[in-house]
Amino acid sequence: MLSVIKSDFYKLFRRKSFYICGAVAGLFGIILVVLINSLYPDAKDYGYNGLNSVGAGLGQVTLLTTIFLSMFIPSEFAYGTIKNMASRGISRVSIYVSKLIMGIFTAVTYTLFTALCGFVSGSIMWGVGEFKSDDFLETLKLFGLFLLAQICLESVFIMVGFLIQHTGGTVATNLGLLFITDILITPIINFVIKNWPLFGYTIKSEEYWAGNYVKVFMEVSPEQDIINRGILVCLTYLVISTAVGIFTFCKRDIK
Amino acid sequence: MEYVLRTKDLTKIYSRKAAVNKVNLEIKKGDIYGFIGKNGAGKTTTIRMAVGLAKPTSGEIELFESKNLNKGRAKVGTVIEYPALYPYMSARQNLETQRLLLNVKDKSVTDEILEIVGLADVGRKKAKDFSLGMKQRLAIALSLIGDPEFLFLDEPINGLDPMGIKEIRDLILKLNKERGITIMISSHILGELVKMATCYGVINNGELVDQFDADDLKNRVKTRIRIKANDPDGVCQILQNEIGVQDCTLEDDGSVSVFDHLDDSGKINLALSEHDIIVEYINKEGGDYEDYFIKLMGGNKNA
Repeated sequence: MLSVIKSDFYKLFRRKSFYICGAVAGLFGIILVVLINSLYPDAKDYGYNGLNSVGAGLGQVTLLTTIFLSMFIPSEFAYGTIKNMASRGISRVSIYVSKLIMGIFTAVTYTLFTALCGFVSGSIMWGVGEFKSDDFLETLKLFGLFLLAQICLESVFIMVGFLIQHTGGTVATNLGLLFITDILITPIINFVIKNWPLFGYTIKSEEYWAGNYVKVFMEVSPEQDIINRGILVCLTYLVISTAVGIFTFCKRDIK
Repeated sequence: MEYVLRTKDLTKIYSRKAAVNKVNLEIKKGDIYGFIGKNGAGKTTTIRMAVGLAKPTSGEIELFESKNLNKGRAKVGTVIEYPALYPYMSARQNLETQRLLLNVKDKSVTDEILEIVGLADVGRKKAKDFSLGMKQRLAIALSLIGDPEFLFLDEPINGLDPMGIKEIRDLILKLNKERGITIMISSHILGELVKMATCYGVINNGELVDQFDADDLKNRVKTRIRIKANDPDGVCQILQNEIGVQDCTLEDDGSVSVFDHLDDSGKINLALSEHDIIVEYINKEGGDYEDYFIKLMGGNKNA
């Protein structure tokens, strides 16, 4: 298992797109700070500083992690290199779990780098800001929750990569899921359930979509029951998508 | 006798059609096994099942005389269909990924293998900029990481120019002789296969038609005069007495094969008719490996 992870890290660090997507994510953090500063010249007076700029650009991290993983995962199938792994007695579970770890590493790296870019550019513009331990702990908590939601969401996209096994199809499906779920799929589900004679009650299906919590956990002080539900929903996504991904990868022939 | 691969009634069914049907392969240690068949005959599917890329519908596989296939596959190297490489990496980096994957501690193994396959001088050139021959050699190099005892090479000389084919052939022979690696090689280029293989398996429509070794093949395709006559038992005796034929065999189909006096078919015919033997058919046959294989594969020239 460890050898599979080592080999995957070696490949990851040699992918140009890993650095490009990471750089673009960081750039978003900087651009947002610059944008705020140009739109509100007296932003410092409103309490903007380096510490509270760590969240700038985090909204785009999910997009860039998704783009990168949607290219990285199916590329093993496109190059045929997955055969070099699976035909040498390496278990398919190890191969899948290693890719999941790559996904988690990418999500964490991009998030930390973007937060660092936000912090540095915010500090340059408005100063570091006053360090308050309560605020810091709250920020750390939300940061951890954001990362959890992000990782769980990416596990779905990794599963899609293993299911589709083509770069184009995976990128299209994952970006579709990322953008369309909120604006199309969940409203349709809500509408159908409300208006279908068999159901006829109201639900908020967006509360059961992991992508929703990537945004929710970026908000300042969400309610505890929302946090609890979010953690549960996200972990469910992680467990189910990983189980489905591993099961289908083990069952299917590799072409 | 030690076998590196044995299959028993190996079957793979896709959409109700048997791509591989009850195949019983036997590959002995130290052999270069030529696996021959038309497009779609089931060669690649058989190899893919043996190395664990496809699951058999039924049947058994033994690697190194063991049913613990994961353990066996750790001692196997593969090149299947086309060179599977990371195009954005150099040859050395490609090998490094495989070295890490297989947990080979000795870092010098990559240089050693690059030397063996003749890619030691390519430097930082990316695999995407390699010629097809170089890519094939790099793919074979990847399969050599981890010191395998058995190599599956599926169409390793497809699309190569004559020079590239010779390089791969020399490499395969070198690996077999110097490292003692057993090799299963499938190819459409029958003439090339004959220069390398010590054993053959012919597959047609998913069924293993025949398995034989190189000596057996030589006998089978040996040039001969084939005679069909009303008294096959008497033919050899007559020819021995009359024109001094030494090598004469009665075949299973009732015909007679004469392996010497190959330019004397006129004399043979005359000698037989003088002894009141009615000759239905007399013809010079054999000598062409390709024709023999094509016949085994169902007579289609699309080998």
